[in-house]
Amino acid sequence: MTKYNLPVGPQHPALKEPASFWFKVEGEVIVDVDIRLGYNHRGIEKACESRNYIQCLYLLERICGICSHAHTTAFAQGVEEILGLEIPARAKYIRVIIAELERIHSHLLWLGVAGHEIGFDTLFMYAWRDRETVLDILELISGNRVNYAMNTIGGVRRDIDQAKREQILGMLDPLAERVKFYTDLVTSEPTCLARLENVAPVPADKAVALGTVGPTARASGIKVDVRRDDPYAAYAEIPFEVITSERGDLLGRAIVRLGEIGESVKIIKYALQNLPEGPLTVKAPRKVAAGEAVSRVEAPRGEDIHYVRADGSDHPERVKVRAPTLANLFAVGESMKGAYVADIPIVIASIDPCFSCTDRMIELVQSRTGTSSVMTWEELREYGIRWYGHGHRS
Amino acid sequence: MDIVLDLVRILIFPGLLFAVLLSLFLEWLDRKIYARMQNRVGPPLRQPLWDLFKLLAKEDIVPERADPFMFTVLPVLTLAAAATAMLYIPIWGPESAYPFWGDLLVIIFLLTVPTMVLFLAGWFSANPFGAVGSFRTVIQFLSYEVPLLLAVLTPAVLAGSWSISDIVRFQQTHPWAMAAQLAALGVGLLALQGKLERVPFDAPEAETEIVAGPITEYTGRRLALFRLSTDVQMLVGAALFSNIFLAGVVGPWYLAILLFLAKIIFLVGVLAALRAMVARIRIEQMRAFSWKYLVPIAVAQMAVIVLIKVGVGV
Amino acid sequence: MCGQEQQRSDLARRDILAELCARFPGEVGEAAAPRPGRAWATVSREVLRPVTEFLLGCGPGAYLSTITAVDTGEEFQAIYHFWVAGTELNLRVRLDRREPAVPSIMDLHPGANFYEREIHDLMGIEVTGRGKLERLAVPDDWPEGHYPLRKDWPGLPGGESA
Repeated sequence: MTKYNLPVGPQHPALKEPASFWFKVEGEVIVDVDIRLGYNHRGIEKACESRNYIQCLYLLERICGICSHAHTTAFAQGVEEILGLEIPARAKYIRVIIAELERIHSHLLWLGVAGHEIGFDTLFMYAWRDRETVLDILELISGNRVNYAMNTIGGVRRDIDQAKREQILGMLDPLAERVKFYTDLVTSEPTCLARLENVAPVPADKAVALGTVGPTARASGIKVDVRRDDPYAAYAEIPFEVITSERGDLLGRAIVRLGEIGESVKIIKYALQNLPEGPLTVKAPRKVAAGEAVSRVEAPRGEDIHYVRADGSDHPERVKVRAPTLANLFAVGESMKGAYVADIPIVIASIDPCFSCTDRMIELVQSRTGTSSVMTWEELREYGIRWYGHGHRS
Repeated sequence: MDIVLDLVRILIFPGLLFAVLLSLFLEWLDRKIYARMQNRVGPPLRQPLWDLFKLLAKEDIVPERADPFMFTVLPVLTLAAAATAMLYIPIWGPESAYPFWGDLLVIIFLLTVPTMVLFLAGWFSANPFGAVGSFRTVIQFLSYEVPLLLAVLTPAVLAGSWSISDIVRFQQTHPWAMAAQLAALGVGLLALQGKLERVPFDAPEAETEIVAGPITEYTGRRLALFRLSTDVQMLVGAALFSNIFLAGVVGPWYLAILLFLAKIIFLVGVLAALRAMVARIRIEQMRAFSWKYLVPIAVAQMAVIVLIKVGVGV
Repeated sequence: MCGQEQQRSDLARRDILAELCARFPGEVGEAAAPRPGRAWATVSREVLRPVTEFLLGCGPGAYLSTITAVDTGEEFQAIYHFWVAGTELNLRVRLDRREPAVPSIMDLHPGANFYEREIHDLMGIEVTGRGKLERLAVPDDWPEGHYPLRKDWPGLPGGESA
């Protein structure tokens, strides 16, 4: 069999964000894979060190457009722990509601992307259409479809009043129906099964050793969920199931994610119906006394962990973010050995990778031209003309 | 003035111009049905034409390591082969522009050329995605070609002729023949879907895996020719099937053309619906599907046809 | 150990910090448990590997969440965040600024691979015993000796930066 290298990324139709995978391939079978990250580094961790805590919150919200609430929740919880603040019960419930809406939004987005990766664009279009419901709810609550800016240190910034509660409750049931339909579809449609069943399985012991988290771990039969194991916000008071699957393959990950949407709907309903009265925030001081905290949140993709270190000033001394994709990516690389080239997109997509979350640190410096890193349109145009004008064309 | 008539036939009707315009209409139809099934609005009627013009105007790049001669010749060849096949398809009556005793075989051969061209296109573009796509194109070709041939052979055996005109006339006098070869039509449509490299058999150019497979490196007008060729192949396939499986057309030429259009629209509708309803399968799954299901069904159909022929004595 | 009964934390929350102190007497400093589910401890890099081995064996599904590298100005710290038996145990290893190095734990826990490469790329902490540290986060043409998360990083030559 011919051996060759197949580059996937940094620019490739299967990747919605840049990352680089070098596959060593024999015929159609993958022998080895090398992963390179960093194309999305924006220097966020470093940048946090020179901003105050509120500014950091908004910066961290922009780590990722999909799990933005997870990141701000993790950071706010960390800072609140250092400050010794107990946020109001109503704020805890609202944090849970937004987090679960975000999970539904993320999982439906994933379903669509997974459909697209296996060439099932109809599933993609349907899933994204139904995802609009969740985005509408989020817009109703926060005014934004993504980056909701709901969290602040010491609570949340917006309330959910009675009228909105009624409206949201009415929108959730049709959504749950659709999710049932998708579950049936994915577990019975022959071409879907052909592409998902027994592809790149990760057995339970390997899933632990490789440090997987979230739906990726749960699909390998590991019952791990920060919401239940290390409850934060109001999760200790809200009943829900941790969905797992013993399969370990791509179908297992689809089943887990679709099951989780159902659980999220239940959580949101419970939280809306049992929303405690009271204030939304407690007052947080601008300066944070020296201390450190580790905060964990179950983001849609798994455990999101933040480390915050305060030095008594109004900006953090160190903020460390480990998004779930980094924990899962190594496992996906390992599981791909022995799979087919055709499985590459869907296996990568199966952990719902978010490279914006994974990469976050390096400051972008224009090393070649040196001077300005922000170009005007005219400059950009001239740069383009120079680039194409000097022998870069074949 | 035979030469003038020939030129008109080759370049205008039913040759190049007609084939291109009708195939662009079919592309629109395919995209529209696909979009409606996906709960989308879909493109306006003129979109495929604008897409074509846009591509013709785009920058044309030949990769440094690619073979410039092959890079130029192949797109022309693929369109020429597909458009030529239109000359042998009956459109306004049971007879095509150039009917002869073996025109069915010529069309099958002409439809093979674009597949081979696709393989060469990937091979000569010096790109790993192109190379993978080329291999897959060949594997897929070896998978669908046998069932496609068996399917096309079925009406020929039933009618006892390699001539499309004879097959059409036979079916028009024996309408039950159409029902007798329904399974062959099904196999043929699936194989055609494979030939056109459409979902679920689009592994050779699977976008999310290998970008565009053999035509990854093609841009501008060369890419336009490849896309146009795929459209024309779809037209030729649907037109061929409308004749050999659905009894062609009857009546005065204007009604006949309407009937012809109705039949190809129906067939393209089936192909579009199929691609909207399933996911892409892997190339080795395609091979297994073809040999496990398509070939046995096609062989069984052939056996049934032979029995009918012997039994009925037609 | 892992695998058969994968319910990582259906087990009751154990006092993992006390077990650690009992298992490694005199080696564990600054032990603190500010709230249920959180524990802090400091060990020297010499015992990092045995401690890691002990922690990973402590419960089904114990794993390393990540490694945080901190530059306090006076020293570097590598903080290993383990999730063990219902507790996030944050294991601090203090490192001399002049010679920051930790032993690799990748052979004990393959999942540590990316985290070790990350602290090397960004904070310049050497990880010994695992061969060459391939770059993960910084570009291939990133100059040697530039570690952007260090407090005294001057920025890249020719660039406008921190």
